[in-house]
Amino acid sequence: MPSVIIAALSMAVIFLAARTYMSGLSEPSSAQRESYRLGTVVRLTVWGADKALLDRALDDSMAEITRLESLLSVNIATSDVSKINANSGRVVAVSPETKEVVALAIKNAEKTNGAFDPTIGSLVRLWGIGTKNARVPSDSEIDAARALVDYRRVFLYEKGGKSYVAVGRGQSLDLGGIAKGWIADRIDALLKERGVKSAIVDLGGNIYALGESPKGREWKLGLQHPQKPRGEYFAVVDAVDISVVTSGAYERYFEKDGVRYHHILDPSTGRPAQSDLISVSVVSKKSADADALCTALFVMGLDRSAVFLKRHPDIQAVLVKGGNNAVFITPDLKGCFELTDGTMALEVLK
Amino acid sequence: MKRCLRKGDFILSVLFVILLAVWLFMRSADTGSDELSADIIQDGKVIRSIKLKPGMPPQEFTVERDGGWNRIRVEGEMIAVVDANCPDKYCVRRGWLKEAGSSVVCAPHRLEIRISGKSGVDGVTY
Repeated sequence: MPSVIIAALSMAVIFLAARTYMSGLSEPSSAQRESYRLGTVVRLTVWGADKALLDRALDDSMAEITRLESLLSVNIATSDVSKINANSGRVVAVSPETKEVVALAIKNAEKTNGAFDPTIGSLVRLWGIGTKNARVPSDSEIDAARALVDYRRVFLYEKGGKSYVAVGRGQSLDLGGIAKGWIADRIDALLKERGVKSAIVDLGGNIYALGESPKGREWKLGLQHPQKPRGEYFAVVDAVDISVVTSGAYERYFEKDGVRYHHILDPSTGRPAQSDLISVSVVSKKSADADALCTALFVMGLDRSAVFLKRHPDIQAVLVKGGNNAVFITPDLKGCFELTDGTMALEVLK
Repeated sequence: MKRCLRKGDFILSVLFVILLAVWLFMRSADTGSDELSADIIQDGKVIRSIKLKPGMPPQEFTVERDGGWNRIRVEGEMIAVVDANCPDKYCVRRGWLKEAGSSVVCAPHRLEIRISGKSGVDGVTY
């Protein structure tokens, strides 16, 4: 009889101890906020021991995203970017944040020799891809809009502690190719400042993986499969304190007379990029760079991208070629990249 | 002789207990993770959650917001937007969602459908 009691008691103790240990170990509390911002779904998820701290950090992050969107969005009439565009050819006083993003955009435009160009606004508006005004413009319309795309005509300076930006007459800034990444970097910094050690910042598929997973390992980030519904991936990247951004022709497009027109415009032709790539992902400590560069690599196509990546060994990328779905990765991704679609072939770039 | 038996008895019961505890623990740690469900999210809030189970009768319903509507159909373990009055009908073209982590967004109507359940990754970039 005593052995039965001892048995029952020890069972209860072992069971409870194991549960408590495991829940303390693998299940810290988490909190999440989701909203429509930046023209997409923004989802922030944080993990940690202090639920109140997590909630405060999330509320502040969402407020910061809303504030930055109100400065950088072309779709908000009172934004800095709208003011710059409405006053093209003249100097406009802007917030320091706007100047910082424009400066970073210009830097990436120079680095990619214009394959990424933040003055692409005139072409984006003309094509209207992703809006109800989407259409195929005439050649003369395209030529006229293309003539306005030139990042070298953007001018910025600081005076008396104030920031100023000017674009050339008729030019139109569109920071859509970098703003989400730049905001992800800001949110990463804000969350860290608030003591958050583990978070996934997902700004419409631009992901910043902060710290490591609450499971005590690196984050596993899937790369969207170019031919499958959203959420289905072809490869997994292991990430710790790193951002992964993907660009693909599958994401936004319209069809006219059997031709598909996707949303990644080539600044040099004024038309959707005739790329041999169907998906590009860039892995970087800075989400803003990842954002701008994945658009640029898509526009460049495989051969030019391979040359560019060789010249910039600090940039890590995953390229998927159309037709045969061949996957190319930069050498440093070996060891933290796993191809999960068995029908695709993997090649490491030299 | 009697003492010996009692000792063996004790060791056996402790062993049995440990095994039972481990089994119970494994069971309880594993509950509720394999079942798929679809969350219908409007303006960032879950307005409806639907269990996706094989063999369930198909159902269709409409979600509205400021004059915009999306017709959603559920068949067994799949869910899709089958019609909508948004300009690009991007959500309709997405087709059927089947796997945990999959989602479709109708940005003009601020609507998202996401399948939750056990996913192999912590996030998917697109």
